[in-house]
Amino acid sequence: MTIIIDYGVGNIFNVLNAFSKIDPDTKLSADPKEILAASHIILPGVGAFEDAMKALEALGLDETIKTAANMNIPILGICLGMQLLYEKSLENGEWQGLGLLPGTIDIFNRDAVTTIPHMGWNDLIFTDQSPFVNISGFAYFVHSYLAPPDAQYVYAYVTYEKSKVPAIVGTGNVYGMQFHPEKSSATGAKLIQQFYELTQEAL
Amino acid sequence: MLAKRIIPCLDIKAGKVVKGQQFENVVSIADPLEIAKYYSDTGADELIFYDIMASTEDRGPFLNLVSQIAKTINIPFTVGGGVKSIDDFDALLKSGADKVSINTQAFINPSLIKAASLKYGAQCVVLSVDIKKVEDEYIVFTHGGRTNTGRKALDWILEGIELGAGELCINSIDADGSKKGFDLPLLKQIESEVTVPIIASGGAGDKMDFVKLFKETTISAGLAASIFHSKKVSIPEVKFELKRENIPVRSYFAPLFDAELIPAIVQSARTGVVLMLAYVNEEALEKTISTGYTHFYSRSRQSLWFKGETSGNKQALVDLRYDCDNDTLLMIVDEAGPACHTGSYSCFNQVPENKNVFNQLMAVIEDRKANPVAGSYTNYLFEKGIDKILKKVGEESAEVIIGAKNSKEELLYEMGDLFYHSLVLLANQNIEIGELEDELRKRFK
Repeated sequence: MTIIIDYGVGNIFNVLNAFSKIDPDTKLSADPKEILAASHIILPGVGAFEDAMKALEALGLDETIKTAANMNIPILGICLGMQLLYEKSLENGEWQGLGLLPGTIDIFNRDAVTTIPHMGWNDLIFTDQSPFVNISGFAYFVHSYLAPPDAQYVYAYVTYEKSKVPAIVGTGNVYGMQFHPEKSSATGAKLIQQFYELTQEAL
Repeated sequence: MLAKRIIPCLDIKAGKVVKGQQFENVVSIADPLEIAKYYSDTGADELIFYDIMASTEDRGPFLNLVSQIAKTINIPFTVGGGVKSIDDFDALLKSGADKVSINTQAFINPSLIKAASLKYGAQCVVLSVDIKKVEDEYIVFTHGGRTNTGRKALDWILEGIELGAGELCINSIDADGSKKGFDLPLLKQIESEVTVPIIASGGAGDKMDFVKLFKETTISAGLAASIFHSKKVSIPEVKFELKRENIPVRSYFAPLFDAELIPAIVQSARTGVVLMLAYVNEEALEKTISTGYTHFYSRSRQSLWFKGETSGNKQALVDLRYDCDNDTLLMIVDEAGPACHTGSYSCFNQVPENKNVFNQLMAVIEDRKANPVAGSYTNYLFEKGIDKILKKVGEESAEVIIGAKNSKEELLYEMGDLFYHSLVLLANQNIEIGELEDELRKRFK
């Protein structure tokens, strides 16, 4: 069963809709027991980093997600959900994240980028260490902050103006997508499908 | 590289997509679910839905529609119309909208922008502004363009961004419905002052208007309604044109290539004859567009095939069209030579047909000249030679003048005589009718 973590942040209707098409046994939950029994965990999120972390903490779900990662349950963070996987963020202050990926989320460098947010369809460029194969195309992005460029954890990136933006990141069974796969047409659907194929062994 | 976005806009009234200028004379044109799926499947980068009767009708059915549409499509989806409160935002986002567009209500109550931006993030809040030029100033209008607020557009836009709007939709009232292109002077003024993405709206009349928008501004998205709804132009056709101009677009053929190969009918631009049918894959289409010459995928050799590479009979692409459900291409070409490997002009063994009566008549005259027929008046003229032919042309000219003064029937009769003798003159002087056509064509401006 795929669990989409329901912590009251943002619009999860479309995430539920997209994942249900691949795993019909997908549901929303904020119950730690249910989450730890999941085959796959999806961490969605839009809005501010601080609010999202506080919402997770209020439900005790920050610890649940860390435990799930230790249990090697595949986790996919989407958009802000991906950013929450990192150690910290500098969005309107300095906030601790889940720490499943090393590094700090920071705002776009104003010297490299004039229009913020980075909004629209951008062309994914996969790196050599990407476990995703035979996929090309555009994905839909909406964000103002970005993940660190640490090559070890970046599976795909996009170029936006003069900035190189991590698009798919991960380590082990922890994955993050800065774009919205649920809104990225056929390319997004293929990426979700491959996330399941890549993490099949963990079942 | 960030792709430019092409966004169809759908106005919804009582559960139907409608179109009318300035919200008047609206006509119901389609089922929103069907049309949303069509646009999503054919390469729209985003959809915008406006509930144009939001303030006067029950909201429930519209929310229901929003959630059905969200389930049907997998591209971003903005909803607007009558959004007054955070509760409205909440209801729309919970129903599956990705972004919410606010216009009049944001102007009346700017704190709504701030509250929504704080709660859902700036990326969720699209500030839509209707602008009209009044005495050389761009002024904000509200209530569907009916109320002049007197406020300078740029002032309001900058305040809206300061309050937390993450995207702008700039609708030019002057350009709206004109089909003469986007309001570039207005858009240029705004783009130079703001740092959020802008959607240009109002005025798109054909695909070249999008090319102009993206060549002359840094604006990231173009919105249109009627030209897409009327199928005057399809989204793949707009994207083809943009791609040809090296403007980055999201793969406009992605939905087509679920099938790996799709058929391409090749038609001569000059003669209208169907030359051949071949198959393209994504690479072949990409090459066709980037090089300007037709490329196909050879099923027998299982490889890319550049038509005319060895024979020299290349086909320069003049236009590219998609059929009604976007799974077959029509390539209109300017061919350098025969299309068929047998050497025949068309693989369907067709030759250019001279449907034009002048061409037919000229063909008969030329045939008489080459193969004289006893008792033929045409051959009589050729035998007598140039002086006789010129005399006839002179006589017939005078008879045209007299005929025109008498009756329509007489004019037509005499004009027929004049044209016939003129063509005989051309044939006698070894001038082809094509040369006359070229001469006349030069005069088109």
